[in-house]
Amino acid sequence: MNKRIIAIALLVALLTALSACGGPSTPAPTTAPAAATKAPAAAATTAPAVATTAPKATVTRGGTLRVGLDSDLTTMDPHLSTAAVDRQVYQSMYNPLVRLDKDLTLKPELAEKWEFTDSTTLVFTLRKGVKFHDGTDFNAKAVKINFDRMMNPDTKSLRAAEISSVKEVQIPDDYTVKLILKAPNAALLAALSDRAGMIISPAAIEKYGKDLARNPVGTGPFQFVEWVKDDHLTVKKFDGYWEKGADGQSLPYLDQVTYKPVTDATVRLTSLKTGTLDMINAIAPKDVAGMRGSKDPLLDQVTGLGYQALNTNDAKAPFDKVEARQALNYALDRDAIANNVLFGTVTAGQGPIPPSSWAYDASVNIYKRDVAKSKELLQKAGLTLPVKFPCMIVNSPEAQLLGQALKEQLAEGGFDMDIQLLDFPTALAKQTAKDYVCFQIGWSGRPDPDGNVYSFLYTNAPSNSYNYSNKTVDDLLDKTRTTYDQAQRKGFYAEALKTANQDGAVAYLYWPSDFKAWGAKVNGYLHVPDGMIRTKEMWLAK
Amino acid sequence: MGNYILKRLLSMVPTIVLVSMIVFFLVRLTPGDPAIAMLGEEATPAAVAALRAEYGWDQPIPVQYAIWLSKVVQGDLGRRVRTNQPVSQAIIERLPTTIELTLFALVISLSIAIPTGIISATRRNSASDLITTTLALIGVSMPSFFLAMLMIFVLSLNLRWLPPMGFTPLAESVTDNLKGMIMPAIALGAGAAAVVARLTRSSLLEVLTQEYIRTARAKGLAERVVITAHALKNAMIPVVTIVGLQVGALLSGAVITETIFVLPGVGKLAVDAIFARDFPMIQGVVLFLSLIFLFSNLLVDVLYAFLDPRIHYA
Repeated sequence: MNKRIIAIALLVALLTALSACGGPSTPAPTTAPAAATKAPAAAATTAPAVATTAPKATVTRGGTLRVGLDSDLTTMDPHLSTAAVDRQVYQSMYNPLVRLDKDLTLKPELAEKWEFTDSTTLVFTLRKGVKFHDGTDFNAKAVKINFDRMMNPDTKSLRAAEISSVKEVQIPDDYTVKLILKAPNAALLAALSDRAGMIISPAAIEKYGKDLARNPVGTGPFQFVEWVKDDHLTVKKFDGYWEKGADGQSLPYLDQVTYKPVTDATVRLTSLKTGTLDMINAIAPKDVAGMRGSKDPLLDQVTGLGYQALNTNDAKAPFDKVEARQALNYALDRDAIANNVLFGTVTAGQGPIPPSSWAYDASVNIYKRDVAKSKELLQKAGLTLPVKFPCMIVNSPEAQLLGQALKEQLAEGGFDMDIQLLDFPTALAKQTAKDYVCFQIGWSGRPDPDGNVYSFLYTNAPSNSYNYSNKTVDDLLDKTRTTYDQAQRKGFYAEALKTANQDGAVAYLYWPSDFKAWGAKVNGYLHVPDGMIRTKEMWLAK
Repeated sequence: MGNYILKRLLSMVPTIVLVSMIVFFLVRLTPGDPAIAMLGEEATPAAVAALRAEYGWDQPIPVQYAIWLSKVVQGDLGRRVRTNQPVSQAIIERLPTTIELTLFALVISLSIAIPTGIISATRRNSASDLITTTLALIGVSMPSFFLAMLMIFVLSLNLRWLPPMGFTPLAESVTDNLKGMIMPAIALGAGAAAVVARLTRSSLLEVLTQEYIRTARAKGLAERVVITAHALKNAMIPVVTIVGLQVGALLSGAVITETIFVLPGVGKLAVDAIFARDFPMIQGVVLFLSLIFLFSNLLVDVLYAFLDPRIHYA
């Protein structure tokens, strides 16, 4: 009997010891914010100084930056890439023709300058003295070979759609490229700041064919070393890189960058906190609050390029009635979602163009929550309350939480939303086939507003799974493509989106933020709203 | 014996074919078009159709199967979707990690389980017996992913003793390799340790009631000799069987463990392939793992005959 009591006592002691090990983490954060309240401000003022004016003496060269990515890499061939995460690595290995700046304006990169000589001719003057990692010269011919490859139907490149306005590529001389367009396209240049504008070595295209996916050769600051799929990808400093750093020598400052896909958000964040990783590209919304005010790792937030929405199918009941779509918009409490469900990590709003864009116009936010009005509209449409409808929700924890919140809000407005949990590919397949009534999904976004609007809202456009059609919107969207004046384009977008919102085309919910977190040693990161980790000017303090 | 092994090998062929068929058709029955999974949010009907045609997914499933099988027979498991890497190459690259993890987990679990089982059997109903059986019960009940997260939280985040993830090849650094391997191996081996410990205990207890043990004790042998020389040897026969079967369980457990600890093994390969709807890779991995499973079972049966002379195979 005595022995038994001892045994139980031992066991209890063991279990308490185990749970006590978890203890230290709780007291730590309570003291941290107090000490660190000034840290973010200090960091915020010094960080841009490093990136823009670059104090020449302080930059340290060398070292390996270890980046944790939230998803597995799929291909290193920018012409064939479909996964957003691939673009993180492309930033190191390839240069695009034009570069996207922090304020989403375009700056010269491989093209020194560009000009629309008329509304359908875009002329690029290329940079001289640039070499690919394999020693091939970068010139107009290389650019033409890349464009021809993307446009060739046999390549099956998704870039073909992005540059579909290009009719022909001419090369009047070695460093001039002339794009002849089928019709004016104001969004083309922005597309060339991403994968469509990244130039691959023509020699590598010739040599590797389909295996280019595993043997990337670009002109970027880093060259490919090895890729163990699903484990890591390593790039090393390219000695022949054309751009100079703050210290007058060639960029990049780092010797090497290792990208590691870590799909579990907890493991990813723990790895950053313990110094196994130097930087991570995504943080779960639930972890954001706990990291605010932390100095190491440091959290940085900007409004991203994308949006999240409730997509509705205009061809299916009840959303074939405009009143039902408007009622849906009135029943939603977007602020509650942003603040309570998503811990203030997003910006509530009602359009596909986020506040980070020059084309953002607050006047498109026409709906204010009004559950009485929602019910009234449903009754006016002759529907019996509650109006039952199925809605596809992706089976991720965050989407499920959002789905539950939406269901409750909509119930107050006279709806009965039936949540259908599906995995992402299945739900996407149903959306592509327009075989759905409602779908909670978003769009990661493009730097030019065209990429968030045109192919979604234009009648019969490829991504218009809503079956939405409005002649006025179509006309306005046409104008956004044929006008090169930014102020005018902004006006057309605002008008088109107000009209679409009146029709309840899409129940937009919010604009997600882009979060990056990095350890105290990491310097020189320029946080562009597209969320890409641009490594060429980053450096590690010793 | 030779005849027996040959017969067993031949009987594996229909099993393998059946497994391959089930996997092939099940994978295609799962919802989610791989073409759309690959294209993601950029999926347009034209792009989806082009991709389906490129990989032959627009063909009837039996035709796809016939094409795949004819290639497999020639030793070609196909190529990974998107990266175009041969499936067999991907498996071979990942295999050493999984083997190391499995062996490591086995060593850990046995070095915990057998002494624990012996102590708890010889000191039945003592405090140490109660503690070890309770721990074994926790070990059996606790899912490996939970233990993994617990260890990451305590050992990595709070104590900063071990990295939460990552793999260094043995050839590069033995210490770093072990640092990265120890938590996954414990997470994976804990369940097996508990099973083996409980079995060792009950098997030993049973043997200890046998008459030859009483005889040995009556001869005046020291208790230690009775246990190690007489009892343990006989008690180990069922334990060996269960250890053999645990190898299969460890292999499948590696799927979860490797995913949590980001180890580039065959298990993680399978999970990633499933999420990416990488058909050739899923088929290749499952076929490969089922082969290993069948062979390890055969090995256990053969070993059994060596261990226990009473067992004969005809």
